[in-house]
Amino acid sequence: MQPNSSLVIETHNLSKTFKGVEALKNLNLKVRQHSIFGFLGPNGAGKTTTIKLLLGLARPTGGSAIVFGQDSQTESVSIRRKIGYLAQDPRYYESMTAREILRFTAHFFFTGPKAAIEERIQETLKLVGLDDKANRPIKGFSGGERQRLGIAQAQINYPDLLILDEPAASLDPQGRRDVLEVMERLRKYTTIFYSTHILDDVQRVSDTVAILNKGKLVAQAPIEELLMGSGGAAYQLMVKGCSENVRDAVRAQPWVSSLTEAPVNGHVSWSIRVTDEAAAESNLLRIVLSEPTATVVEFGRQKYNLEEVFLNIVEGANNGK
Amino acid sequence: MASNKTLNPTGNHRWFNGFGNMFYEVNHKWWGTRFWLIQVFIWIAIIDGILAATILSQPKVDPSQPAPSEAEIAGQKAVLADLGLEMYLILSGMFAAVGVVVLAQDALIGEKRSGTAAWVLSKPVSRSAFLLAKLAADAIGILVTLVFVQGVIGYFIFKTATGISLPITNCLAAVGLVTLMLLFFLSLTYLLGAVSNARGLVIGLPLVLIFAYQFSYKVPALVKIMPWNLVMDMFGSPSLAGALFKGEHMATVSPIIGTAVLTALMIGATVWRFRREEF
Repeated sequence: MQPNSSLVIETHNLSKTFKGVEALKNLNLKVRQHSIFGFLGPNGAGKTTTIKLLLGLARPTGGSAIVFGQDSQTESVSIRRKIGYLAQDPRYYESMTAREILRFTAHFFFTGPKAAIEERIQETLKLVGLDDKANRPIKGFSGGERQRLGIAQAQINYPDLLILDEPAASLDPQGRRDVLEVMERLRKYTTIFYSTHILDDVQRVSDTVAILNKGKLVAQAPIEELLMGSGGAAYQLMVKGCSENVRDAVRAQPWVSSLTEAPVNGHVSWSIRVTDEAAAESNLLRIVLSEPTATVVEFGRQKYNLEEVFLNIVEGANNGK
Repeated sequence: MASNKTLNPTGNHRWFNGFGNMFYEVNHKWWGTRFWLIQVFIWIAIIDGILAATILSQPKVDPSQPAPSEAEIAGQKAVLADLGLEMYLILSGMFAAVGVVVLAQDALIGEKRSGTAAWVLSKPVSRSAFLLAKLAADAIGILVTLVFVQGVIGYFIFKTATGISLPITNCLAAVGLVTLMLLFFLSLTYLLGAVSNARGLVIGLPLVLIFAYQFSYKVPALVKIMPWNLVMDMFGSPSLAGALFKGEHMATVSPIIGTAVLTALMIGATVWRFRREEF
């Protein structure tokens, strides 16, 4: 199979079984260059297993993973030259200082004048805001400082692909914000593939999302597409003074598949799912406003938040079992 | 961000990728801290301290007694020399082997359990390089602190006690066999660390093997391939290192070949197993 050059990661029926338990089932992922790819799933969904398979730290029981056009099992050292990785619970040699950790990491990737390497280390320490703690042994570091050091050691080689496993999971809100800011700063240089179950973070920084549940990929799409929801487009109207006749008239349209209503602060909120977006956009408001007493307070394409989408997909998949 | 112009990517050496950096790091743990000094003092106390206490405390000539003849003095010196060499070989072979097991038991298990192995191996490091760099650096640390330093000090204790200057080449050959024995137990401990995460097994099995020489009469063939006979007399076969010290002919070389082959096989098996490890 010819690898697609715009794809950084491509998996083909990637599977992993641990002692008879299927941790990952026929995963087919595609991660495009320069995307921030959010890899979502509840705990135990198989996110970390997937990452370890991509890095060659674990062996698949079926299928394959291609990273930068190379097989993750046979060419893993070569692949890892282009990758920066932050583990979910990063562990380092505790007696080392942050600077020593970065120096040790840097020497796996490149050689050169000592001054140039030290400059790179200093620059990376600054990037994550650890330059003032660089010479302290890391055994005294807080969770947030460890996480920032984790990002620094993952970034030291200016990777083409940054793989972050739950980068903000153990952080307080300020630490989370810092990590997301670093990710946003790095997006122009690299592709970021990160796993998380913090949906707000994904909605804030990701452009593409995949959702994994019980080892199976249940959704993969650009985030905008995912937030539109499945089952056709939907529109949200906040109306006042509408009679039942108008509501029935809307329901009777051939392009309306459902209409649900709910009272909101003295108004009525309609959620209308349609099969024909063009027809909806040109006719929907017209039908509602045909009633003289009707007022439309809000009208727009309905967007879900990621939490709703995630729960719908995951619970839907669970119920389908 | 700074440019990459002045920095060059490390070369692609396949199974050797990352060896130099890893070797430097483990060496730093030995020599960049006081660890080596602590080991030197511990083993001076155990090997040379006991050796000195044993052979320097032998009864001196009683002036009230008639002076012994030259033949008697030579005989006494020979007995003392035999005792000294036997003590040295037991201490630097059997006792130091216990030390090797204790020192090396954490080398792989510690890294696997703490997650540092997974971290290092997420960088462009081959598993073979990771393992062999650690093994080589530990072997050098052990060779210097447990064998070389103790051997030099032991040599002078022996000379002081007996007045005998052993030929340096004989000493180097004999110490080479001690080193081979320690490498055997180092490799065994690494192999068990690669195979298992149970510390009890990694420490226990080598210790059982060290002291199993007492029961080896039940399986005499084992004596021919295990390292015991390198440093100890085994059922009529004098210690091979003892023979080398004295410049005598070795009764057999099969324990040397057996130990060397088993050591090489264990290193190979460790690499093979570690390459299949999942993190």
